Amino acid sequence: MALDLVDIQGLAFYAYSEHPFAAYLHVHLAPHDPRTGAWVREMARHVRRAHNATDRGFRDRQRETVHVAFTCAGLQALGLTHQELLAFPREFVHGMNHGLRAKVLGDTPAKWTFGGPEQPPIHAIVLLYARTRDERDELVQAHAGRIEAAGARVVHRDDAHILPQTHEHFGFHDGISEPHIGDGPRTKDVGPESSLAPGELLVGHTDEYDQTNPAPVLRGFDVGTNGTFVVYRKLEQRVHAFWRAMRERARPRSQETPEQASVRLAASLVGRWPGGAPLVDHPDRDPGIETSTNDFLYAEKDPHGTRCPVGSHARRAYPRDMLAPAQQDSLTETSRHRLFRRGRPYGPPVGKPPWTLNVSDRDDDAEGKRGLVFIALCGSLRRQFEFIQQTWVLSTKFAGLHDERDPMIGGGGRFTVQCHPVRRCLVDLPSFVEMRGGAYFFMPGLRALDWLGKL
Amino acid sequence: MIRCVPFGSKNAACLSSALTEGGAAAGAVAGAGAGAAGFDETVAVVIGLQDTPAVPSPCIRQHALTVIARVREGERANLVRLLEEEQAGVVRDLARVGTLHFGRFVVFDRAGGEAALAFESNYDGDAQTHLQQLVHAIGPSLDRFFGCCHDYVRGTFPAFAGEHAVAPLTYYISHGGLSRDQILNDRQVREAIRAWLDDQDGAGRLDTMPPRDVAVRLQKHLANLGLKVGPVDRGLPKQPWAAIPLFLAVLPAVVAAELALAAAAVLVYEPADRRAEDASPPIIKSDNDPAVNSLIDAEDHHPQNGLTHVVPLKPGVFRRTAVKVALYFVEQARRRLYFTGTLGGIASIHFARWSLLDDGTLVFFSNYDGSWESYLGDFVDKAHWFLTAIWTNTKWFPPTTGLAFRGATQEAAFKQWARTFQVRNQIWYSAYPDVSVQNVLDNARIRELAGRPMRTSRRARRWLEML
Repeated sequence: MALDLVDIQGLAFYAYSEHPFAAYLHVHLAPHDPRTGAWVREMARHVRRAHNATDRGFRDRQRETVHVAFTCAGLQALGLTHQELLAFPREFVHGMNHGLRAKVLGDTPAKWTFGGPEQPPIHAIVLLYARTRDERDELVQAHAGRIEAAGARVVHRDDAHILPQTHEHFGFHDGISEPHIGDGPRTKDVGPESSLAPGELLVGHTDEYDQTNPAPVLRGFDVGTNGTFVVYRKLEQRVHAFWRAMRERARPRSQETPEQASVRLAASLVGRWPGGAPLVDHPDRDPGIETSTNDFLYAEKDPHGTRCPVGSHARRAYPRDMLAPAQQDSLTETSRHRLFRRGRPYGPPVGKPPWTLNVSDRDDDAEGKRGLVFIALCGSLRRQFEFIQQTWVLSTKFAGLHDERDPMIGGGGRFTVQCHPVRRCLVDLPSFVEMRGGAYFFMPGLRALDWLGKL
Repeated sequence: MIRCVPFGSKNAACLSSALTEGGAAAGAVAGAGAGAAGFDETVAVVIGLQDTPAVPSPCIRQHALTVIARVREGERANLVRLLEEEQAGVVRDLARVGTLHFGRFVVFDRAGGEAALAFESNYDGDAQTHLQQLVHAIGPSLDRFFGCCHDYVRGTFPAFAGEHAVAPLTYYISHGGLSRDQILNDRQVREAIRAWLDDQDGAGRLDTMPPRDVAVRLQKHLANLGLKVGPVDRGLPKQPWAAIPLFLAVLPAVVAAELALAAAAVLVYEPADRRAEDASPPIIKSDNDPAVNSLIDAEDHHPQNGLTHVVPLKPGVFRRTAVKVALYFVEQARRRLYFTGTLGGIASIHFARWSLLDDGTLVFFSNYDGSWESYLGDFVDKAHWFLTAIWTNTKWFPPTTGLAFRGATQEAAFKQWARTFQVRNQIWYSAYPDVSVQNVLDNARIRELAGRPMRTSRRARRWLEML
């Protein structure tokens, strides 16, 4: 069945690299205010539909792109009852700051700077994308005005932008591994990408189990179909602390500078070189950005992790064929736990790439904050985002390991580097990434958005 | 010294686990059972010994004990409150039961609506020793808990357990032949190795050392600490394929029975079920049911979890027969094929059992690693066919064709069905909550090789690779 691209919001398929400057406005709505519905209907006119976004030339000509999504509390503020909203999945109903979600995600919501239990509830998010910094600021101003006119207020704002060569702040080429929807329009060609069933991205469609991802139907209206769940996490990166730790712990080989050794160590935590090349194919040195391939597996080439450590970030986030006991089972299993990433870095980079060792004497706190606004879309928060976080990223028992978590986003601690003659462990690593706040949103299809505006 | 009977032998009385058959079982493993306590004298393989140890360790078998008692009318709430109040104390005291791997107390409702109290344990050696240790550790609590049940007399838990034990139809053990003491010992060995390696590496001594030197020095260190290393007899077949003929021998009969049942199911029983389900809508709990949130609240406090699942069989002789055939098949498969590490591709189960109660209640107890989502995901991804063959005979299971198809492949419906009939454990205990199945088996292998002389660099390398 062809996807209804007129109904689906364009962010489902596009990351808008031609609009490098983004702003994310977290909105607290005024419940029972008649102006709220009018604002939602107006937003429905601004939102970029997927069919408009398919044409690269068309996208390039646009000054801006706008999307909108709602938390469960937000849908309630639009006029749905709590009882009705129980038709949505548990994770969404709870919200990211719920205690049961925090247990799964390893979060401490009380420490968040926004979206926490003591902070003003987030009802909606307006995602704005522009070509230049100035155009973004104009766009923010226009939307802030509309929000205010609806009796609502912006409770938090994040600005984000694409860094040169799509690097993230630690200095690694990011966003290489990205699934796409078999029946959908493709966003980029990066080799034999995994092709997924549409239900992995969109509610109300067939998923990887060949089952229909159930869509909530409220008051006789199908509000779920063509919508997608949005994970929003503001992750602060401690870039100087990271490279300082790498420099302190690196062991240069013969004919290797301390800088090269620390980059090599950093790559073993990430699982890829700064240029994006996978360690499993290039265990000894960074061959550069043109080899940032996504076409590789682990089980045969590197069963013991001596090329790419078994607990490295890339393996944990997407284990491919490495999960015991069988390769083919592992590929099936991992295809059922993928994410569509739409995140962008925020804050100033520490310098020009390559950002390695010359940065490490500086202080993260003194320089202003930087990090990643992690945004991911999925058809099931539980089976995709939360599963990856709980079962792979944060599991101390991942792939036969004993007591370590993801070395990049798992909060520090121990990390084992498998090598000859015997493994090396980095112990008491500090935490390089801190969660600052976030929420789960539902990004409805356009028809549903219009319906929500008329409640 | 008693050598264990060969795995899969007809004489393997120690495999039978219900106390109702306990006379023979207890006799057969009495020596091995004493060995549970006498482990110290027997496994003193330290370092530099021959490839085959001079003194073989005794093989210790694991057994399932399931005691199910009828709760007296009006006592259910009181019992649940008691269990919850004493939870922390009981978990603390169970650590003194040297034969216990996993245990739980859980109150559930049987098919007929009557409340029941179940005590589950996975234990080493003979039943009498285990029961005595239990009474010694938590006797007063046992009296209070079972005091809420029919026919219980204070201070008679072992006899009561014998009378109320239910044999499992399928009992899966992922690390058979590794006693609780052995698992704890192996963890200690690994921790000692880890500390030594961290230490040596911190001092920069490992980078240039040849593998054999690292291995030999490490062995010396373990010997100095007095840790027990070297092989133990797990009673597994020497060759993994040795038991396959035994499995193949039962296969034709099981397959024939299953095919006949499947044909009957397709023609008669499955259409009838569908009509019955259309007539009365299922009672599947919604995603946001408070009872489901309560289950989730109780999970993931350790890297391991205990799952209790209780569901009534569909009525009639046909379903009772079909579930027994399916469970017999899985029991045969786990004995002959899946005797270590995985059950049908699931690598995260320590112990699991199915028991069928007289009134047609099918009870499933499992002790597994990791999250519920990943465990149930494995059910769907890897083991759906035999799980469907078992559970399709129970009420409100997702629609199935020919007893083994569709069913559990319907991911969301299957998981929701599983949550509906899951029961929250009042008390759940693990003797090693921080050790996964993979850890147990890896640690055992590390400990075993630690007792081997590192004659070649290759052998040393293989050992070091596992650390």
